[in-house]
Amino acid sequence: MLGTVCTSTGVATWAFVIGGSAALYLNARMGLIAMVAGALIGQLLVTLATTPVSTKFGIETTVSTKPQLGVRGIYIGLFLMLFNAIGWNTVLMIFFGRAVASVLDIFGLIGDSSRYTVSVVSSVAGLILIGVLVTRGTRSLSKTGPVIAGSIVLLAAWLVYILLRTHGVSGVADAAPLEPHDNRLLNYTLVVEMLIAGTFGWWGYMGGIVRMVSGARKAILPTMLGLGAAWAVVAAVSLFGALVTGEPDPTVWVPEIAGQVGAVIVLIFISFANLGSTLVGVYVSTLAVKQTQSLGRSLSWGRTVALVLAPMLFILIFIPNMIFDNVPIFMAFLGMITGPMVGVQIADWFILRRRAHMSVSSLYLPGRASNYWYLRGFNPAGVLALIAGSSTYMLIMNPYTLIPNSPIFAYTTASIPAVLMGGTVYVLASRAMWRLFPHTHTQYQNHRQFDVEAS
Amino acid sequence: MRIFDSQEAFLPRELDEHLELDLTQLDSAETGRELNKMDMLHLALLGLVLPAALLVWGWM
Repeated sequence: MLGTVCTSTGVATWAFVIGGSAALYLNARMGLIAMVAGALIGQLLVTLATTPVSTKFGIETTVSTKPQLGVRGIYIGLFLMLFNAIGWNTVLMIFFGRAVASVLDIFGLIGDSSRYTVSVVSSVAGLILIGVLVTRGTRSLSKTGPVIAGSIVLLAAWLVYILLRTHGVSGVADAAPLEPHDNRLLNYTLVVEMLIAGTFGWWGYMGGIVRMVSGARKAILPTMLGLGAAWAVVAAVSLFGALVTGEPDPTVWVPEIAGQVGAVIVLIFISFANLGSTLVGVYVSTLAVKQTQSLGRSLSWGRTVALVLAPMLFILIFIPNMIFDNVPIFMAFLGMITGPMVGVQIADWFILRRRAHMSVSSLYLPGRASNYWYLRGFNPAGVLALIAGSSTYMLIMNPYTLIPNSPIFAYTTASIPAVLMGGTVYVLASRAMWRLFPHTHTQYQNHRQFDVEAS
Repeated sequence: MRIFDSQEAFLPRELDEHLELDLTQLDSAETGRELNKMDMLHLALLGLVLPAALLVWGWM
């Protein structure tokens, strides 16, 4: 079950966006390898940051940031989570609306003039449907996940088949990248970086998905393969299609090689994939808001779902193109702001041994009653580490232009140094803080010592 | 059974008011199993060794 939820979450239109972008820099073989490798590296980091704490204590990702960021600092974690979820899922629902409009257009049911209106109405209707499903809780995920995952696998296989039938294995393998840099290593690293940063997008989802699993071990393969490898493999379909046609948008290249029937099938494929991913995204976003002190306690589950849907509805109705036209920049920002948080959580759990010193009650106790009040509700070590990690990313890579600022990018990527810097600064700053403010260290240790069962 | 296994997440106020649960009891609640060394080895193989090998192979 966990595997199908992970797969239906990971496989969505964002895979097509990534695959089309990878075709700019690499051919089929190098592109496929770089995407799978980048996704696995990114997923390893996300799994290490989130799975141990979420499976051990049954908490979702945003709540798990409280020990690192503080009682008030948790809103930074909530912002990271919602920035990611609202951004990605809005893109997905815009794509869903466009797919519906394209199908109606192909059947002659609407004209070009009404395409935009139909796509907006379809996006909004799809999002409301998802909202209704999420108000029913995790049962909706368990029923729809396997169906969506199975449909996606079949349709992805069919897409590969028509690509190979039309262009042959050699036609796909020999196709040159569309707009490569002169530096081969730079092209390779850019695609690895895209997949690492893109996979960081699962950070906010992880806790909500794996928190009901009884042990971390059960989450390894489903997350590494379902969230890590699967979306890179599906992205390969878009990579191959973009390479042989010169067009990264599958709704454009599929009709070229498979005709209108093929286009309808692909558009239905996109619709299925996007609904599954958005369903999980809205669920974990609602869960994150629900567990905050103020909003979570005052709103019902249904009203919290509505609160999460509200900004997405606003974007879908009024500014659908603003986010949709800037997806690569959005992904770079994901790597820049999420990477350091991933590093902080890994360092907190494995180096500062939070696994043996977690006060679960303090995750929910208000204000100064919590061990994680620190200084005015913020953990200075965590905040400093996020700033240092994001600054490191910007020194190496410009997230606005997607052009490396430093030659070391080709050897290190930008996200991995951001993770390392975030974790390192967090450890050093935490130890300095314990010296300067001894009460913070006393709080850190002054509660039940959890048994570390299997270490 | 862990305290957080509810469909609508953990609601402290409702627990406080209706179940009269002391939040500090959370610190003695049963926890899920952690990753052991073999699990970490599997993770390292999937997330480090395999990608490194793939990247070298792809470069050649």
